[in-house]
Amino acid sequence: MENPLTLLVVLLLFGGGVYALAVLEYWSVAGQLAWGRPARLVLHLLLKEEIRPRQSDTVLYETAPVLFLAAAALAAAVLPWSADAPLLGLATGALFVNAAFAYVMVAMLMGGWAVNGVYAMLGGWRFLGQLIAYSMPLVMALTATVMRAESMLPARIVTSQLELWNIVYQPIGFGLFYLAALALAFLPPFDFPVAAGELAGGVWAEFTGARLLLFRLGRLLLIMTLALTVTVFFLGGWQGPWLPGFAWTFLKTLLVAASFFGVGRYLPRLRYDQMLEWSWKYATPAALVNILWVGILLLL
Amino acid sequence: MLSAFVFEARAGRLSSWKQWLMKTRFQNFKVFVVPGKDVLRALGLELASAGLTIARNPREADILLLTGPLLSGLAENAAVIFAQMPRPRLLAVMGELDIAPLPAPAIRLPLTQAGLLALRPEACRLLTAQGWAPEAQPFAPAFIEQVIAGQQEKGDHKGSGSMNHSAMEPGGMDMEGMMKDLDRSGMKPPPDAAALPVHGPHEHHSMPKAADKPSGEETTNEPAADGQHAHHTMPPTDTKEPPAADSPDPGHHQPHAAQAGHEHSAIPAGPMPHTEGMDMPDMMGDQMKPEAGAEMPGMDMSGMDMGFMSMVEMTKDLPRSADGLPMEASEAAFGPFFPGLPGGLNLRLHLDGDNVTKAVITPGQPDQSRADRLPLPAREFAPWLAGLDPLTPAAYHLLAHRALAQAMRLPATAALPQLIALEQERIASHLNWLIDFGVTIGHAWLQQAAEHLYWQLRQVPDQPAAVTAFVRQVRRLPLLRQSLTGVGQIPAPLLHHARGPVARAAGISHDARQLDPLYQQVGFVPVVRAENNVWGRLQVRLQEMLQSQELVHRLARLGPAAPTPAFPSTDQAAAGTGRATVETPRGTATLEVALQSGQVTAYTLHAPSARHVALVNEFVREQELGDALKTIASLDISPWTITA
Repeated sequence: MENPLTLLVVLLLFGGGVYALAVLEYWSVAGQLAWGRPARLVLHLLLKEEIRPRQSDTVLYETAPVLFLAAAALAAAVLPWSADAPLLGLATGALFVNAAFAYVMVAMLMGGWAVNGVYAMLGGWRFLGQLIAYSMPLVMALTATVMRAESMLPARIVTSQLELWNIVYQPIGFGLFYLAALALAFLPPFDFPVAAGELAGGVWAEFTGARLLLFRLGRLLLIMTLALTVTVFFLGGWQGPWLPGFAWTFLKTLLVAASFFGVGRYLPRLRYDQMLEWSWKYATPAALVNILWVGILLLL
Repeated sequence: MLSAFVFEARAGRLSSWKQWLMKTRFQNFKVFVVPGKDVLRALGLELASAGLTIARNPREADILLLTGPLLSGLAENAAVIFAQMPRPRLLAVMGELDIAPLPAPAIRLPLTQAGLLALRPEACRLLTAQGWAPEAQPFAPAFIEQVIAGQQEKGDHKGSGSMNHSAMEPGGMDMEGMMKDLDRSGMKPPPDAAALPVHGPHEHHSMPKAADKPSGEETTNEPAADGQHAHHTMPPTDTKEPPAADSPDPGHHQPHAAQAGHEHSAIPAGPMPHTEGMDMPDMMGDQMKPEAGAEMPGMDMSGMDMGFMSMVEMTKDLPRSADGLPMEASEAAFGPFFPGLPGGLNLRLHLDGDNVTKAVITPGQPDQSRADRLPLPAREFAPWLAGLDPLTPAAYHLLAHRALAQAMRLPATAALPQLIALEQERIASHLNWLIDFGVTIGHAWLQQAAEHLYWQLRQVPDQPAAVTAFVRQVRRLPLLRQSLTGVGQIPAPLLHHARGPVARAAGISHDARQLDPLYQQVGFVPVVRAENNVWGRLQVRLQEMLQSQELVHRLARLGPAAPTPAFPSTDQAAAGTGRATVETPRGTATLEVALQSGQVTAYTLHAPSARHVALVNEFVREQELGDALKTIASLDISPWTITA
């Protein structure tokens, strides 16, 4: 267990990162950096009444936002911020990250089902379809990085990128993971479950007050975690000159997250069956090719 | 305490801490606009400059803003929206409107941008002063209560799992349609095999009324707020539990057995034969049996494993969709305030899984105050008709003007300023449509860029460079073509019903401007494409924007800038009938007027949107929900002119 001070720094950075993501999200929409806005929104949501839909499924309704938040936080717990701060150094870290992300789908499905409304239900089911699309590229891209490091320990994966970051070593894997991460966080153009134009808010439509806050916060946490995953697995983690390790991790993570928000603005929402088609016809074979590629490189 | 705030405030005391929080932090108001953002824009009201943002969903809205005009039934829908908004909330009305079921508005404003600018500080002030009130009550107008009570009385004998999520959706709900459904269920509607008309409420178990009494507690504003929520079929095992399920205490957990029962029976949530349930109760009884057996946890069903539910067994009698899969049949309102669709469009979709099986657009009636105005003096008729459609007033003004001129046997006068106004309105209308289309297809840049250009043109109408640049950028957007081609094709036998850009996109070269001598003089040629899909319609509208720009320049060069011709003085003995045609941005509109003693006694308006509405069900069927909504959006229906 590392220094509690290091842990505190990491937590602060993580929290600050999440706040920065909220600002970045608004910036990508409105073009201005409103630093006080997320705090005001939190208060706004807490001041609003919490309406519980009539005849909703109580267990699922209460669990969904919390599970959503927990899944993102769990995945973040195994990702190292620097050589001195590996956090939960799990030997099966890469696998654990995947497993934690799977619960995002469970939470969204619960949220969609629990509120007893058509929009939310459709949003939930669509997210299940989305999971089928993004899961394979996500896992297979991570597998290729694990292959290179010959270990699932995330710190080992970072150190394996000492000479060459994975983004250069396996660019196909990076591209696939990036897109799959966008789909996992249901960011545009993959925002099927919470689409305003098609489902009037979808899964989140019936949540109000603190529960909606948990969902929103959870999604920011999820994006932060995904950006952190990209950083750790493909961008060399904490490696970089001059600045301390955790600063590099922080910067790289913010950069990736900012790009997450910016990418989808110029793309329309496709149908999720088109997404599935692309995933299984093109992305999964590409992921296999990527694994082959990494295997060849390792053998050489 | 103003009586208005009984429904707007949250229950509780307004402590100084809360007051401080409201004053300093509660400032980013989200506004839900009735009838719609497109009408708001067409009226020239810009929310962004007033420091407000749009709420796409009543649950995230703070202020319900009603501008006019309102069709019949929209006031009730707005009342449902208001009931769904979490408190503290505010009701603001601009202009003079009859908003019957809604409470008295907290804020009244003039229908101008200055009025809109005053909204935010006024809302701030009111909420800070009265955001919490001990006597706050949930807003539960009688008609909502009736519908809820009616649904519960229908009862649900089979119960099992959820299936029928019908109707009450936050996007706005057709309360009248719902009441009509309730009435219909008493009779036996012919079973519709193609559609799956599941209107779940009729099958529900009667839930104990106690669970649905409006409670004064703020956290349980269930009935009022959720008056629109779907009636959840509760499994029989849960009938012992309902008070727990709907208990006022959100923290209360159901006993484990009931939970298990609920979950268990929620699982075979396969589609239930609700269609039969609606009109053939005995058949329902038969189908009950296998399901009922399956619901009982642990019940041994003829040799199956304990608790194993065979999907094949359970779904063998269910209606199937075209591809053979039994999916969840549901029905939901996608209007009249659905984000992305025209405001006021009363759309209801029957869904099979997430495919559309039936689309029903219910035309609304104009407000009573409008309808009773005839006979009108001829001089007042044109502005009156222009007020019919807030989205394109200039086109209808010109139409009335021409029809009346013909009725009075006046020579056709060159009306250059009117034509220029018509063309400028065309550009504005297409941009207005494009903004909402961007919402439907989920394209953030398109929404924002189109809105930016819209307000730019509103200030300075003549900006060819900006429009050209915008159109070029839209055409180059990645993946837009791929996502829109192949969506929204009108079947060939029905193409002759299409009008306007929809028809021209499909290759039908019809445009009323071709017959106008002034347009012929400037060499007008209709914009025609051979792409009968959403992409084609988008392209046609973009090209028409460019063309209208060019037309404005050429028309201006035709003659000096003459003032709009004053309406010929109404001869008191003027009588006759007149007919005129104008190419509105949505298609050709034809008007016939009958004049008697200088007054318009009757008129018939053939608007292009009416034809499209009749067509919608034919080619939206079997499309995925997103595609169906894109198709309907691409038709650019104006709900104001499809009145029955």
